[in-house]
Amino acid sequence: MEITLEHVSKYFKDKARKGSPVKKAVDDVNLHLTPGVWGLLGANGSGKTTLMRMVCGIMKPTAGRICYDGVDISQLGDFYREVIGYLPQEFGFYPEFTVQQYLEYIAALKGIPDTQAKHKIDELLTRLSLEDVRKKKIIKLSGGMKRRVGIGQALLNDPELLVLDEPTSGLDPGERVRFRNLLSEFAQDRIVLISTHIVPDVEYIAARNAIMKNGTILQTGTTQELVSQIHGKVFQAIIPSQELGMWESEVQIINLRNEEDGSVCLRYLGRPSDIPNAAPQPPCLEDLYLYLFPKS
Amino acid sequence: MNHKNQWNSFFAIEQQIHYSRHMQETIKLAHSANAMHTARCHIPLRTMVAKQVKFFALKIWLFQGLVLAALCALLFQLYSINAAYGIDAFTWAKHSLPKSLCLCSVTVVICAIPLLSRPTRYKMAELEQSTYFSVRGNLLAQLLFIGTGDIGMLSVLVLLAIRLQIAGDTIFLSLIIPFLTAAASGLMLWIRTSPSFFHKAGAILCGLSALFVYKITDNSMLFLPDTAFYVWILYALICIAVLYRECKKLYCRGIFDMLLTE
Repeated sequence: MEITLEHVSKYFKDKARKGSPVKKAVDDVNLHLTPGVWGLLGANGSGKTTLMRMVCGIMKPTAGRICYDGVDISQLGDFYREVIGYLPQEFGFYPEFTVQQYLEYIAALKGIPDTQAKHKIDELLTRLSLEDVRKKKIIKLSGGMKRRVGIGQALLNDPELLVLDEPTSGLDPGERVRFRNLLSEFAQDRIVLISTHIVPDVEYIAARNAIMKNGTILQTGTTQELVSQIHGKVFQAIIPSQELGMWESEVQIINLRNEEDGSVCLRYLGRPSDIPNAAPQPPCLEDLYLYLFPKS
Repeated sequence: MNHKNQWNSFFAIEQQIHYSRHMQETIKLAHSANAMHTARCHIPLRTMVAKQVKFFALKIWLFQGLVLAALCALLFQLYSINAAYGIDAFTWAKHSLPKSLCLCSVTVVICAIPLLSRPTRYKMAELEQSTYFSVRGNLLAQLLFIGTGDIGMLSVLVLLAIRLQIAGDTIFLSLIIPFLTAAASGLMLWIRTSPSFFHKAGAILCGLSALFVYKITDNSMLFLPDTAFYVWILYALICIAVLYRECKKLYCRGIFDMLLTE
């Protein structure tokens, strides 16, 4: 099972600008997705959501094609949507629905027979710790619980391709860990595509990552392959707090922590000679993200 | 020849293969493949539409019932006001009621707009579009429920008009023609324009188109009553054909980018 994106592009008319020039949301993307968890990283406006919508068959590409096991998804139609589970970034719900009603509604839209739907809903409500709130209206749930309902609906039809756009936003650390474990278990023999700004979520579970910038794929690879390019560029130094202002304009700071003795521990991207007594640090995916997207 | 001997003879060169272990693995794989196949069986479209009755139909019909009650109350109020000014029921029915019925028919169409815009308003359109039945199946169900409700509302208005001794051709021209015009123009606009434009301007445009057509029917019957009526019957058939064509287009092609891009 594989998803192949061949020279996929999506252009929009930029109505905000005079003359309506074309805005390239996605530009000539080539990607080959195989079973496992794929992380899609990129700054806001890099084209991640547009790309995911095209992978789900919601938007038609302006150019190129997306294939599922070698067949164009526009030809597959219903068959392709049968094997997809999608959680959009802006996850909505009708206000009158309870959790159970909502899942039953989505199950009906996914064409799942009644008995199978009932069994699956019960299983998901238990796994996602939503058993106690099944009769409660979604509008009255906390943000994290709403997100879990969203994840539940994506898993209803046991999809072979799971597309999750910012799935962990609003979840507390415990919920994020549980979600990561659920996904890791789910991802055997399936393709899971996650886009997120919470880089550690992807770092722990994604076998491979794709980094997007300005609508194009900059790099793909495992976490180790990607972070190796900034090996020797991440450092940590302890500086007096009064020098912080000076160093902020000199180096790209990844993280700063105020120590008890009044000094500041800086983690930064740069050269060893930038700050005296700086010690090299093993890089992580978040460091790479800031290296590639310095303005964020 | 038993299966074990058959198995062993088939793999004669691989003497270390254990029959029972591999058979267990094969059975396990067969079960999971069968489960995957069973899992992909799906309900037919008519079953999905029937299920939507529980989720939406009752709410849609309740809303339409409330709108109808308001329209009837309004008509009754107009009658009372006219009666208070000494205008008898017959005069009122002949001159004012047809205009009121035209406005009622436009209202019947416009009250469908908030119902159809719910997926966009509550950000469900994207999710619904990614499902097996997609937006098409869901829209088909909603249009079916709304259409059923509209027929019910029009029936009540027609009965009301007959009760007030309005002629059949007047009912047809003041109620049915504006309704079909507003419905056809509204559906065409809805498919071809962005949600934000349609919510702001679409209702006004389809309402104005219906009122404009009503004005033409009024004038045409004044000058060419016999010929004009048959022309309007043909016009009604064209509107029905347009409605059918637009619904079919919606079902076959879906509305991929329209619901999402503004």
